Amino acid sequence: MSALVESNPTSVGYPQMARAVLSEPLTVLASPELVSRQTIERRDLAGSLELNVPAFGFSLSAPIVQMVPRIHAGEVGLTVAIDENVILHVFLTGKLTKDGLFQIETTGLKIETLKNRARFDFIASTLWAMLGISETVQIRVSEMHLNLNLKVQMELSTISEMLQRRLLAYRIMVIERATGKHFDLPPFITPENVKGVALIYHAISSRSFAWPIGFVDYGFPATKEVRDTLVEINKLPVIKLGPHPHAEALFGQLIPIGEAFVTVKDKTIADFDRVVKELSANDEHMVRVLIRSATGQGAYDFPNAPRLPKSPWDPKIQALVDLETGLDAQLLERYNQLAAGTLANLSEEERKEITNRPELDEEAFVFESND
Amino acid sequence: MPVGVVLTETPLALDTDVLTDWRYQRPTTSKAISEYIARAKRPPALTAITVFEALYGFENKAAKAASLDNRTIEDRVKMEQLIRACPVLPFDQAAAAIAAYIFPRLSKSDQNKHWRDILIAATVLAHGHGIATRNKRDFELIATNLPTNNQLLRLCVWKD
Repeated sequence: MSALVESNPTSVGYPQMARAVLSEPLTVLASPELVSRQTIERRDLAGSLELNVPAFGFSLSAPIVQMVPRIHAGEVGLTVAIDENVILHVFLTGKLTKDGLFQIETTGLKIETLKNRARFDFIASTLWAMLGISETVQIRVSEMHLNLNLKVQMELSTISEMLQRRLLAYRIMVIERATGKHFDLPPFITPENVKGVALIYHAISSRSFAWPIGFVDYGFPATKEVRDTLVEINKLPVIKLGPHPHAEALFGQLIPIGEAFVTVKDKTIADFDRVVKELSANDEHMVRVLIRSATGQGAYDFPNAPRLPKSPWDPKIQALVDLETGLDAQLLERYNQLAAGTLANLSEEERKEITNRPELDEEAFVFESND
Repeated sequence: MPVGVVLTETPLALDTDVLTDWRYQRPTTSKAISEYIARAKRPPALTAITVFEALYGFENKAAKAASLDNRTIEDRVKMEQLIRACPVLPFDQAAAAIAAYIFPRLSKSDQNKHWRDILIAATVLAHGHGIATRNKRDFELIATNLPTNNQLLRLCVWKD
């Protein structure tokens, strides 16, 4: 039999993701805080920044790698190495008081990934999502006697976008870990790549999973056995094809994911009489058979797809992975609050009035000819 | 053409009746949205037509009463925030072409009854989304009149 050519519906509907959004700075509100000028200007200041997110019981301590005190310009910059290639920039803006203290008025945060790899995107997007959803964050630098309580105000759609990026980065990390491949991520991740990542991820993590199947273009050799089998198969609502070696192209690399079985549910074989007639030639020439799913559903089975090792992540990544349930719950709560808020102040009667759908009168679509 | 099935990765948009159920926090819709957000990390999309219908409710009241009281204004602001926080699928050229195909193929009575659903179905199809609705039958009727080269209208029913 010829190689399977399986065509899913297009990638329309999958998002395109611009990775640059992860590095956009955010201005946050800070509690008024005074820091001594002498401390800020100490050349030998070495220390670490502690980030606490009480809502998630999360804390992280990371070394300060650079401090830029521009007190007369009203700015102090701290650069903190959160991970090998993930930098947190903290910008403190304020003014010098008569007592020689630097009074912080606003605080800016920026997370920068120095390499375009999934691990760093995962860290950055998880931190952004957590900061955005938590609203209150504490930043502490003991060596500076700095203790900031920040109120992060992030649009709900931005938090959601960060969580989508986090999901994508996580899936790519899973693929990298299971296959041993490494991807340099482009600035824009196309819908095709988002879809490809989803397919490979499910093959690795689930092995058998439902997947939209538009049609399968299959080549059968024209033999009596194949004809008889196909006539029998045509009586069933489902057809399972395979196994065939399957590889997906992802970020310019071909990723083999083992042998695949494809199940087409609610199947119809296009031009069945012609197919049977051609197969009856019994001369082993390849006969093209187009198998469609009437309901667009099918399933993949990848029994030999690559596997993740038992403990795939280091403690830092594992701690961020473990935040998922909490992040989802908080995101849902925020959306639910908003949805419920659209009717919160209204009586039952007013609610009915507000949610009535627009109606047209019976003659709305009766068009009279002027002839 | 039968309707398609919604699968794990199918992006969804809400029909207006399901959006209303969400606003009322009805259990089936709340549960379904919870599961959707857990897997997609975003809420289901709204179509531009659903946005029109949701805002129409407030504007209809305002037009009748000349103005809205503060309580209703507060809820309208929340509605605008919700719209801003959700992906909104525009009724664009592709959607218009699909709607133009479906519309004349329905009876006058169905055109009158389903004009909003036709515009919603055309919008979700143009943007590769499925639709979560309470009214399976209405969308099944629309699905039998889709352009032949079009993908399936994927449908799931969220109803208490």
